[in-house]
Amino acid sequence: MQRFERAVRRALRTFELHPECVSCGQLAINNHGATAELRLNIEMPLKWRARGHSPNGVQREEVVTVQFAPDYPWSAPRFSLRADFDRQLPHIQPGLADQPPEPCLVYGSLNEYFLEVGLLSLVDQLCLWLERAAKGSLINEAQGWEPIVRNRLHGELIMDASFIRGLVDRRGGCTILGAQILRSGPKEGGLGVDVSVFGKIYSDRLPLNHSKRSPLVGLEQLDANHTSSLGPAMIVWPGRNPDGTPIVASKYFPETVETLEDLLNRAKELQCLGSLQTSLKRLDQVLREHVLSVAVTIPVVLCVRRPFALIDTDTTIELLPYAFDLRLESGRGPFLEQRELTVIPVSQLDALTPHLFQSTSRAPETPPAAVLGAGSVGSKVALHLARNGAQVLTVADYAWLRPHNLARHGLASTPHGGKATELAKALGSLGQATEACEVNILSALADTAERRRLIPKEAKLIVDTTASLQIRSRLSALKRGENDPRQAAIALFGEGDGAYLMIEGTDGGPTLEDLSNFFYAELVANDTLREIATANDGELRHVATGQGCGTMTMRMTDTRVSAMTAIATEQLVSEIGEPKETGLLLYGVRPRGAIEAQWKRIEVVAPTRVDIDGSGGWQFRLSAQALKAIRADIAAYPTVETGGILVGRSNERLRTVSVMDVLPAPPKSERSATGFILGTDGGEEAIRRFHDRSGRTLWDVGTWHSHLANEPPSPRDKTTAKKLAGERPPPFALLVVTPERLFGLMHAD
Amino acid sequence: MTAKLTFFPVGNGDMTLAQFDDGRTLLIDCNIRQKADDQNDDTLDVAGELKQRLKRDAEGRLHVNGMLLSHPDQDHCAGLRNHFHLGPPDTWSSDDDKILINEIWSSPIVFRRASRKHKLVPDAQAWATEARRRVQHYRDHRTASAGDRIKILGEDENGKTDDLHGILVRIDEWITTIDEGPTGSFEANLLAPLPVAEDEDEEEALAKNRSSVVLQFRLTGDQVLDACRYLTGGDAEVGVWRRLWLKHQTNNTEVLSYDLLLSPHHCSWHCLSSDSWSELGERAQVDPDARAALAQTRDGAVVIASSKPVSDDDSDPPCIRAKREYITIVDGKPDRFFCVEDTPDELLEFEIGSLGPEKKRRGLTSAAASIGVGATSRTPRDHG
Repeated sequence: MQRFERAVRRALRTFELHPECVSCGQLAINNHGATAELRLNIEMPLKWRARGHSPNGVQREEVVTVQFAPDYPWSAPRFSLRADFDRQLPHIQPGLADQPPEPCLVYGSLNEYFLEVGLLSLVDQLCLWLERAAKGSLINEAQGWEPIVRNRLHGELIMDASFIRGLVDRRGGCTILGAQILRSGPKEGGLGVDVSVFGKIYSDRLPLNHSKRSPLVGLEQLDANHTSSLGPAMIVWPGRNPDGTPIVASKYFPETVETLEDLLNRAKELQCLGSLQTSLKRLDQVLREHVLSVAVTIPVVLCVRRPFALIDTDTTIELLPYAFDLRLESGRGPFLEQRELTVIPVSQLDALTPHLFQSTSRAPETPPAAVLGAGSVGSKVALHLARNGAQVLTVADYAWLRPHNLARHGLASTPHGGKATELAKALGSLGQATEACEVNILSALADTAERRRLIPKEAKLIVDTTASLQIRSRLSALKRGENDPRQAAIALFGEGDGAYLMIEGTDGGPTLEDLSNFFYAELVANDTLREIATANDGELRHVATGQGCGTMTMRMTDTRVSAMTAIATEQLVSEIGEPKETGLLLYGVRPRGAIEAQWKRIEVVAPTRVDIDGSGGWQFRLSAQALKAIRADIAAYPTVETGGILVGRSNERLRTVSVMDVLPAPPKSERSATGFILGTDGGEEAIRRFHDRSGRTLWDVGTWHSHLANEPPSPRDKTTAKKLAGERPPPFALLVVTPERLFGLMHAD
Repeated sequence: MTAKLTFFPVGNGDMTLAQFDDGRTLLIDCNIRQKADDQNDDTLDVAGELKQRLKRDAEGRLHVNGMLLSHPDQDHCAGLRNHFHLGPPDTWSSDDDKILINEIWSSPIVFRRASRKHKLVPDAQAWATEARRRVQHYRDHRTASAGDRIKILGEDENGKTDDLHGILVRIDEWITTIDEGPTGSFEANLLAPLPVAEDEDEEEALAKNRSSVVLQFRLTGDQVLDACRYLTGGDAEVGVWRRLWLKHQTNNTEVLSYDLLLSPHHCSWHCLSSDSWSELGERAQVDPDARAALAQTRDGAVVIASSKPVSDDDSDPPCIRAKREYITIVDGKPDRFFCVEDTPDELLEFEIGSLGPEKKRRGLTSAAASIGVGATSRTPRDHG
């Protein structure tokens, strides 16, 4: 006790040090704690200051009661205001009318705030609160609209808040939705006294008509104290002012509704009384003939437009749910006349929807996605996307979840189900309606009907997590229009020490195939990347996690997969919102011994396409870097023909020869005004070196040479093409570069 | 941003910073005494406080958009050379890091040669030199950028301002921009220095106090025009106020109205009366016209004395009798009279919102001081 008293007395001395503290005294201590009186000087606009009070009654000198709980200083002192302080103000704890009002000083825990900042800051915050109360600026646009404080509630209603807000139109009105309600308490008990309600409002309209069938279906007495019912929920909102502007409720009303009379008055204040009366009358009419022995709880949600967005949200519509008990006894009168009928405010919980996750995570809006691959990377990508609030429309994988998969998989479910099916189930518990496609992705992509299932028309994003080059090629081969989904790929390599994200460009920008080739070209230049990505024998190690790859043999922890996948998904989400003609290649590599990966972001411009003559549909895809090197070489030899070796990759399926770079002509090459002879000395060695540095992914795919005039390939060129085709397996192509044009040439088989 | 008026505790002297709601700043006078610059002295470091409230421009120069010197007395311009860049803006040095004055607002007294009644202290001389440099710049170029700009407030008697049309503000004209910024954040009506009256000795008229610039500001607060009126008049004495009242009493008393009045000449009796307080004491008579000029209060108006604490003795300024008179003007409410030195460790600040000015709450800075932060090493502590 002595210790407590000393602490309280110290607190009072500290209060007195605050410059706006006029006095502090009237200490009363007993076993339940201590109280004291704090007089504070409150600044307000000069004209009110001179008057001694603000128009809403805040005094120039306010008396505040400070209460110290017996555990002080482990808890914050509580402040309460005069009993006649204006309770209509926001940020006041709703309390009983005979209790003095308590200001809500901080957004969060007062105890935590007190422990962090100390007594003087608490007084400072109190002064600031009172200043704002005087000016009516406790709610301000910068902070956001404070939803009505509604503590000590006896019910909860789950609803899809964004759907309900979406009902609010300018005309004003009401809608009746279906609601499942669990009423918990004695049969004859009263709401808010010994009965509480828990329920869910569905997003389906419930037609109320005069059929003999009661709209109260599924009524079930579960036991003596629990009733479950499926019945109507009334959603009510205001319309517009005479001048056509929507009605906005800019005045804060504390929660005081206890009866139907109060609810009607509140609706009147919020200018939606007409809509409420219409919906209740309709309910009354429909139920007039029905008699029930048990009470049924009916939810009402008033949807109120506020002048600015609610705190921490981007919506201006506040939802105020209430509930009342309907007792359908015989001989009853219209219940709109039962003004004393108990109405309780209940809390609104958001239904599990992507929108809830998006507003909670504040992740950028992500387009609806189809995820290919439901392995360790795919499952994590899909769950990340879902938790960001993106719609995951489909997940595709034909494999089954095996015990060893669970070492790194996003799921913690029982093995032996299909990966896609299990993942879709998990996504379902996050409010998604994901379709599982247990198909061979590669063949499904080739079949129009199957493909439609895999990639539904609502999909605006395809995320390929299979790391399958075949699938990537197939995706790159798909013909695409403006409305077709954008393709992205996420994969890990180097036992999880590396990962990449690729996003194709729009409007004929780089495809995933182009971006893969670009990634291979990066291997040449980036030693760390090459070291991580290639095995000891110098060959590119196949990507760790993909459909059909042997994950059992891949040594990699779950944390590694999670770390790299999370960042790649985060980047995907942040980049995908902005359509760009350039493609994106983002890769991260964790150098040996380092904690963090180093990420590099490259915007890749579309390759220059050149149809290859005589090839039957083959095409050059020339990287900007290769073309730049070619032009530089030509500039160095403006008066003679020059040339070099094209290095890159060819793809039989896409019939593309992708040129990522050029190797200079060997020293003994011959350049003249009429021709160019590619020398041999050191050429092969240079190609091998390049091939090795690329993790053996890029090789010599052809030659290039210049023509001084805009002339197509010469007979001599065609002979060379034929000769080359005979000496090595096709495809092998010649590129002829003239001042204004590019020509491709390949010897037909 | 929130518009603000900040009064610095600088003893018997003036130093006020106006921050307009568009973020531009106007410093009205400065009295940065040596002891305020001395780290070992307890006097508040007003230069430091000022600098904290200023912004740097694109070239990294700390600056005020404007500075008005009401009249060239030491207690209105002390510290000018130490803390403000004087001379062409391209000679500003980051090593010195002085405050650039983008635009000078000066009375035409800077054109006056020194005389018996017109002696200038070095800071005032420096101001006059800088003002003349900027006037010459205007004469040469007819345009100026930040650091070369000037407004001359009032016409010179000897025609020295006749060719300064572009930078001259005549009596009763409104200033609506500062530093070539946009309009809308304030208007200021130039009320004085008044031209020489027929019955007035020219030397007398040119005496520094008599030459004080008197301005009524109408400041925008939270997008509300004219949310706050601020009347400031340097050391203008009783004769100036009397003439202002006689000039405006019939049709235009609004130009003298205020929410905040900086009591002229540090709450001096000589602004309200021609009688000597020290000689006549309570028998000294208030000049009704001067008083009327200083009594055009708006609802809830307050009076601020930029002076030492007002003591109940025969000193002047500040004068207890003047304080009493001002309290009478503000409806007899002592809590509507502030002396900046009543709280010498902090600034007196008024924020201007849509509902008008509001005194800023004294917050945790002073609380930290009162709780004794640093007190351990404030004096030698003997340990045995």
